[in-house]
Amino acid sequence: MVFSSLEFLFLFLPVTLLLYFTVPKKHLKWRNVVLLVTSLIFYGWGEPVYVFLMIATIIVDYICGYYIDKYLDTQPLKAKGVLIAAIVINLGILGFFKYYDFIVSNLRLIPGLDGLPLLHLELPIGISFYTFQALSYVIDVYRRDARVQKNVATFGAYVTLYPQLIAGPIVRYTDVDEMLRKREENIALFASGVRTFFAGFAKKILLANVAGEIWNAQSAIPLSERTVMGAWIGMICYAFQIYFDFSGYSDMAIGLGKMIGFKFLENFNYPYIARSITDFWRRWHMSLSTWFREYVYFPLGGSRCSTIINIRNLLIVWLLTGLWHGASWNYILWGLYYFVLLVIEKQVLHKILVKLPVFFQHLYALFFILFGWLLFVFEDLSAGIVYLGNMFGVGTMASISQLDFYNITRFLPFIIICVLASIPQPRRLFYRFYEKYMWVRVAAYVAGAAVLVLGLSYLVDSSYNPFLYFRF
Amino acid sequence: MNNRPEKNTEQDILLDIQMRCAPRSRIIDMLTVFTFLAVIFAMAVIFVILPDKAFSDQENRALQQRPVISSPGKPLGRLLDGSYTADIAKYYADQFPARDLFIGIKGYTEIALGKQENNSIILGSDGYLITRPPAPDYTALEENLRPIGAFADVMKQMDVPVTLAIAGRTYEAMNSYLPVTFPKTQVSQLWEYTQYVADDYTSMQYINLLDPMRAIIDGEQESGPLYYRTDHHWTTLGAYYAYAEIIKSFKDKGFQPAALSAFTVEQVSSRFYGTTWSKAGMKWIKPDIMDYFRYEGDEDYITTIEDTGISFKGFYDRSYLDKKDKYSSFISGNNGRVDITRADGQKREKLLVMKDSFAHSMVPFLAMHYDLVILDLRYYSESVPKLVLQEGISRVLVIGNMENLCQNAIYGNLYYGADQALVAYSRSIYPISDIQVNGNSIKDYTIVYPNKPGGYNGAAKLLHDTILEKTGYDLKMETSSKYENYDRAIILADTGLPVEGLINISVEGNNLYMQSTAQAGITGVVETFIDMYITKGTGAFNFPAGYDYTDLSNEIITIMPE
Repeated sequence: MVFSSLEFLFLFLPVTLLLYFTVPKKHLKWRNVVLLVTSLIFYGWGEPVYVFLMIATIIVDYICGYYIDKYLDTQPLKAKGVLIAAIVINLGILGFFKYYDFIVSNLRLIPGLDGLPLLHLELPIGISFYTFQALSYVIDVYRRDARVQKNVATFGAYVTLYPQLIAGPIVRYTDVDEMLRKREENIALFASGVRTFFAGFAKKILLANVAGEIWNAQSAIPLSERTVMGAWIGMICYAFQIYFDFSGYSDMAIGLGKMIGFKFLENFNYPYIARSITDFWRRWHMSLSTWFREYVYFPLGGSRCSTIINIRNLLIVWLLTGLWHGASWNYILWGLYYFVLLVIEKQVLHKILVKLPVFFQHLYALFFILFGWLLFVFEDLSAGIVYLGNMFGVGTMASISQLDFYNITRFLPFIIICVLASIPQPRRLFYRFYEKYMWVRVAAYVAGAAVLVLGLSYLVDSSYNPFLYFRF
Repeated sequence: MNNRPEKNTEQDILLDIQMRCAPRSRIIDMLTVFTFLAVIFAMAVIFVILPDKAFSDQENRALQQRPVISSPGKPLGRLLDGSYTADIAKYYADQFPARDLFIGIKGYTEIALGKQENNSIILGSDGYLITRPPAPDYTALEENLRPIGAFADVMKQMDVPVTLAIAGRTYEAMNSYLPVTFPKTQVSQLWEYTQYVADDYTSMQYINLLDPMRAIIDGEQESGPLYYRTDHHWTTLGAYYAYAEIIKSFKDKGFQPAALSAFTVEQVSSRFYGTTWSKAGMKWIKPDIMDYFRYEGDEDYITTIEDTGISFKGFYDRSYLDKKDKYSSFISGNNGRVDITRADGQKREKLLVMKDSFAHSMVPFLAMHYDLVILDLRYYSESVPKLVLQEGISRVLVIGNMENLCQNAIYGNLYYGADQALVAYSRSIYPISDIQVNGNSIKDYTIVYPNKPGGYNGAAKLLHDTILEKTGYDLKMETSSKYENYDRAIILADTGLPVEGLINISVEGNNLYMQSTAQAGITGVVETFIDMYITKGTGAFNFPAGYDYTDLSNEIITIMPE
């Protein structure tokens, strides 16, 4: 099930909230049980079979966490053994379901191995997200960053928590440890949650889906009719689609969390206002970057070591980041692309960049981000190269066609809205007035209701409602 | 491991902003929460208690009903394979309360944003709702045109002329009503290609209906709209102009189309909201007017829906006028086969119309000249060539709008059954009454053939069956090598010696001899005999005494019957 679906809003959510708040506040454990059960239903809705895989993951990590905690002080070697076992099992499941066919199809290129069978397994939704969350628990327990969770239902609720189950943000156990034991719900937080949810809802339905349709149309234009302008319109719309899609989903998740007292960390911080690639990655999918930093980069030594080791660490992190996004070479290349950019930036470019006018810093960052998306979106590399050529006039029939002209006039207002939604200034301005004037608060309430109605109307009338990050 | 930073400061700041800026007006907060909960709970309840709608008039389709978990034989099957939850999603979208209202809100919003389109419907000038055509599928186009061409080749052998008439879409015909910025270049390519393929088939007459219609529209000679604003069809006036083009092209008949002044316009609805209106969600667009062009005696026809056996007087099923789908009042909408005949039983020449729904409003005009057999190959799957023969069709008109022809292969099976139909046709036009040998009818003849390998048995059977089919004579068959014992026999002879040449047929006494030759064997000789004297034979062929046809050349012989 996805948040931006009618059956989520008008079936799952009311039932879940009702059950949840029917349990008295003092029985938090039982509320967690409700969360676990409803989350499993939420997951099983789209993955009726793989829900058992998820239950297995919960049990394995619960047991591992328990024994790590037990042995950590008395027999540290044993604790370490259990930790390694947990990591191997978790990554093993992830690797099997997500990467088996990719690895085998590449191995089959080697003579003599071409008989290896492909399994064509369907990827369990959200497996990359929840595996990382489960891993964070055993590692945090091992590091003493978090206390062991003795209650299997509460631990299960952590892994399956429906708001962020299938597309993040990736919650680290240490961040929610406290909230699982004690959390405050109140009207202000709930209202804030509703607002955040509908901000995300609007991003997803009103911006991402629309941008996605433009991108689909542009990328489907036959090769003989491509234009430079058309290629750029398409790529820019894809950049908007992926941002609003993913950050919209994160917002909805954060909002739903707030309604039941969870305060998740933000996942995006206006990534497209970045002034460098380094800056971009501090703003894009922050929960994933944090995860890799905490559990891979720092343990490897981070940047507090020789330049060579540091570069090696970056290489590992970015290879993994690429691979995490999908079992295909283009994602690995995408990771390497950022690795190269980041190393160059760190070693050389940074000093030059900061001296440039801010405008050029933005231009530089956006340019390379856009090409990153090009690598990201085309699983078929040759199609990606053709499209890249189109953007620079290779293989196009014209630089601008009548169709482009028509499209620009049509899409301009929409693109302006997208730009405004990608920069922080409008929101800041809004907050300033919000605190000052009552009428702005009323207007905001009305606008919120309008977003709901508008979002519903787009939802009811549309069959195009994918979530891009589901495949990860 | 001691080099981790103390705290992730950026995220803390963000969280801070998020919390601090959380609106501090308690009233607004309460109102927000209340509204949110009220909406989701109210909707949840409404979905449960509101009875399901079965059909959407607006969209002209059946709506998803409350799905069931189990299917026969699989108690949990639909749950496990995900089809149950998929149906739930469809159910919520289809049964959404005030669905039409919400669709309208989206339509307004898209236009207000300057998109000029919604759901691929372009808002043109004068309130024209114009379907934006998807990229043409040239493969599908060829898969329609080439079978129609091949069909026309077959029909030519049967002396039935075939006309293909293609109607333009609103998008092309009302080109000048598109937004000024809309690119108008791609239309001609598709039509040029159609012309190019059609030119491959000389037996088929191709009529482009778009050009004359555009000439009328752009020349502003029309007395009303030729296409509906809210529907993808042409108006009755548009259908009239198309009819006139088609009838004028039947030059061999010397038909003249009825003059426009011959009709009395009956306005049957001023509230026609068509298909594009439903899809566009632009609810402010005014409805179309729908007319019938009535003429003297147009009630004296019977329209029969062959699929259901239902028939009615005239061409119009007026019960549709009370529904949204008013266009279906023309010959009762889409059916596999519809026949139009005169009520007084008078038989006229039959025109076979293979069509899509564009033809429906044209039927009343065509019926003035022909009895009609109307097929929609999307719903009719039997052999058309055979039907042409059975019904005694004298002319074929294939008419469709470009959208159907360049998106779906509809006419791929048109050739189906053509071979048998051709054979049956040639039999029917070359009747033979008798074959005579030496003045004796073969009625009492016996087919005699030797009991030995070499195909004698099969050849004798073929000969017997062909004669039976053609003349009705059921000849006796006997195996024997003592040919001299027979008088009045057709003898498939084997002399034991190789016979030179291709064909060897002779008359000895009253017997007709066919000798197996080295070249053709007995089968070849019999087949040639059948081809020459039976299949295409006219009247009776008399093999005179002493007839001796020995073809020593290796050329294929053709002998026309006398």
